Amino acid sequence: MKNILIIDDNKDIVGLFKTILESSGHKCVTANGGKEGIALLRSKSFDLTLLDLAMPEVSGIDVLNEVKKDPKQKSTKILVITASSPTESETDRIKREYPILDIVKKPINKTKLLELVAKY
Amino acid sequence: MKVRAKILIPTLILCTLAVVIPSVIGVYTMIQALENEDILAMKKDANNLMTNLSIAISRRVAEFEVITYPTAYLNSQATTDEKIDFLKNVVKSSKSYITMSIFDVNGIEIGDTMNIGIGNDASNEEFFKQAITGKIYRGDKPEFSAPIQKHVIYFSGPIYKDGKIDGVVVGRYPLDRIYRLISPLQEERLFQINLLSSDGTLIYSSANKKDILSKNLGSEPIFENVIDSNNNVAHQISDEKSYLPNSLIVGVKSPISQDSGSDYWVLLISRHVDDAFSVPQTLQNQLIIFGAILTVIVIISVLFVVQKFTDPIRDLRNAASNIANGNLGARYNIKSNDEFGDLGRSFNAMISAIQKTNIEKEEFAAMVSHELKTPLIPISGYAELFLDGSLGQITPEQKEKLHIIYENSIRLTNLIQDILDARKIELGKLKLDLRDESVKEVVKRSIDIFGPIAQQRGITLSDNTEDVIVRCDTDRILQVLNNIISNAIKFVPTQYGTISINSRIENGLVMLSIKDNGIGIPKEKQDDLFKKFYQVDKTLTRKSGGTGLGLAISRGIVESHGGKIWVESEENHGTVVHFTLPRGGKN
Repeated sequence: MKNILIIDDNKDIVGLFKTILESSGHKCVTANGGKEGIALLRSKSFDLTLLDLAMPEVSGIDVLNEVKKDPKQKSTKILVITASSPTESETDRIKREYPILDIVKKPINKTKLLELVAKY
Repeated sequence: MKVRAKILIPTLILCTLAVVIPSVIGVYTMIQALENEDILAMKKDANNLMTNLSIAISRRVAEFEVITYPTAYLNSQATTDEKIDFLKNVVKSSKSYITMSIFDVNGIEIGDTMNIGIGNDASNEEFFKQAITGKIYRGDKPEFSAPIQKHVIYFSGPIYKDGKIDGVVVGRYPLDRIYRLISPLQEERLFQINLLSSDGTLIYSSANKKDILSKNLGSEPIFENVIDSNNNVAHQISDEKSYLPNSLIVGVKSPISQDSGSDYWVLLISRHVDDAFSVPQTLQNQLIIFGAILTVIVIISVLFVVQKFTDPIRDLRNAASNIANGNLGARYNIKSNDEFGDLGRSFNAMISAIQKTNIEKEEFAAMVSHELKTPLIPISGYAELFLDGSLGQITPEQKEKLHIIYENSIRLTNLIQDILDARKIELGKLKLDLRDESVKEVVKRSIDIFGPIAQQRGITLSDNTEDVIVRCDTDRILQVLNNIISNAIKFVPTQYGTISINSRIENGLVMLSIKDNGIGIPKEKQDDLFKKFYQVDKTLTRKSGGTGLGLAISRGIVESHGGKIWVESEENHGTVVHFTLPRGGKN
């Protein structure tokens, strides 16, 4: 059982992920958008953070920059889940520049999500 | 035709019409006039000379008329010696004869002013035969006089005694006298001067004295022209076969004595054409040089002007082709503030607008991709949760309908992804992340996906590939493999369907072949297979859930790797899809 933070601007997706994860016994905290996400990451620590990249105002990259800047968040485990389709070199670049676990492309189904959460 | 030629050719034609042709006509008219003047001057010279010759000869004839006049001293009772003394005075005063002689009625010379040739018989000589009949005679052509060793022209007349012809008086007029008349003109004008008798015999030649009396120019065209002419003058330019080759020849005919019509001489004065027409020739040469220089100047100026026009056009064309090659950032470099500058500004503005639209389109496409896919995630996600019972119990009918929602949302997600991919391929915007990858690894990933479905349907899915390295974008090639294998799964029979994946190295490329024992594809439909939205059997596709884009996208992906994709199939005998990829690694 993990304590998981879900950051996505789409409430329905946040809700879906929360439903899936909680049905499997995980504990979820949700953030609607990057701004909320940054605040939550600063105040609490989580076993795993699921982060969307394309968000209005404060994007996933902004969130990653904040995490990178803050030495207290060094141990934060972030899994990026994106709906856009970056090429492998872009993926590689983001992976190199930011302390993240992996980048996973949407759509993502229940099996896959649970698999990923179990893995990290 | 290039703009350069289009401008240059009419300009040259105009120049020719406006400048060259009138100049040529003008100068040729001038040359003609100069030539005519030359000829006229020569005719004048020839006439003058001929007049002088006629006068000289006429004077001799007149002298003989005087000395043979019935009451003249020669017809008196004086002795032969006294008559010779008289003739000596005539020779002295006339300064024309070398000697004068007296012949008796039988033609025997009985006296001579130089006392030579006494006793010679001249009874057969023309000068004797004519004079003994009472005529004044003038020799038509010179004759060689043996006693004085010179060419002379004979003049003769009768001597009377008591009213009857008693003998003949002869004067020997040497050719030297004629030379003396001719030579000033020859020296002054550098003419060649030839004098011909009425039968064409060369009486005098300024150039070839040896030919005198031995050559006959009666067949020269100029001779005939002069004889036939009305005013006794003619001119001609001779060819190289003439006695006077390549020359301007002026001929004059003149009766030497007043009484005889057929008794005339022909004077030919000539000059080599190069000398005769040297002034016109120089003019002509200058004209040609002038024309050539003018033409060169015109061509250079026109090319220079044309350059001013073609350079901006070329720059614009380069900018346009640069843009056509996909570099939308290229612009026309405006160098002038004229119409070309305006054109360039409009062109640049147009491209900027296109570029802006293009960027907007790209952003729009990215947004569509994101915005269309995102709502489908909760749709399919919740449907899945309902279906697997995570959200509580549902009736079988609800389950069936929810399954429809789920399937369709997945299909729509795939379709959106395929449309975006097809569009990228069409625009040549497909970005490849090339890296070395093991074929076996990619095939394994695909089999991992399709293995469970195949197993469910009793289809054998086997990997017979070798462990070779290819240079590829792994995700994209996986997409190709997935497309081909998912197609194969759709069309092989359940329970005894087989799909095998093989690899081979051919011509330095790695060829992957996916073989199935499905329904096959009719020959006539194989070519259309890789077209967008093409479905061999529409009803079947609807049932099997394809988008009709898979193979078109696969072809785009393979071709952007520098490979090829094709099928081998026969209806009801299965299908093999082959595609090639470049080898990777150090090989």
